[in-house]
Amino acid sequence: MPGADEVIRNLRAWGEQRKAEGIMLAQDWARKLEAQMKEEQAQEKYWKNRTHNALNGLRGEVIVSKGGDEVIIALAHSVEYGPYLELANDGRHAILKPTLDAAIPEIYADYKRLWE
Amino acid sequence: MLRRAVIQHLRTNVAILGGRVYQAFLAPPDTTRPYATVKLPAARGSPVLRSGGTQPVEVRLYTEPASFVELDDLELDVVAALHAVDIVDQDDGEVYRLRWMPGGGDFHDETRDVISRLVYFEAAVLVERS
Repeated sequence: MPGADEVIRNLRAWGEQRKAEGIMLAQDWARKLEAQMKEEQAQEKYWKNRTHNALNGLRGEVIVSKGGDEVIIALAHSVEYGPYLELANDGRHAILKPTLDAAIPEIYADYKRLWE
Repeated sequence: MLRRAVIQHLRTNVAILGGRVYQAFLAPPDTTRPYATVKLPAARGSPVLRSGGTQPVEVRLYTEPASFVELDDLELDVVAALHAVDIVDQDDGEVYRLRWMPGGGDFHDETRDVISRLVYFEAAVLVERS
């Protein structure tokens, strides 16, 4: 059918553009959440800074699956005792999950807007 | 009240805990092991429902630092007691339903010299403006 090839090409291009925008949005959120965690912890919201290694080691990163169909926003500690901070003392010093949990509705809303 | 309901339910339904289930941060330092604590972090708004959301429930299990097998068994008992069953607050009659969520993790609490496992659950909740 005349024009069908062009329609299919445009649809593929549209899909690829949305994927790329999805990854960029995730990178934006990862940077934003890393900055937020560092800013809050600089005020010692979660634990008392002694060496500042744990503070400086807070990370927000994006993991993209092969093919780009899945995008993960990951928050992480870089210090060896990160799991202890996150889990021990009944979670008194947990920073990763509370930060991500609080942002989830806004992240979803952003992605919804992207795909509308 | 969800917190009270979960604590009551675990005390009654997980025999190995011997009733030693406490609110987070409030377990007596000399309590017999194994024991558990229950924490309700901030509720999470639903991404799709304006007035809905989920209430995470964190259950931490503590045992002697001898073997993780005891923690494995304890976790199975706790999940069986809380996942997808009606949990009733005996004080006000409110009924809740939790579901187990993957995640959590093991750690060694050096302060108390116990090994511990975090087990996550969630309950659906209404998030309404007061």
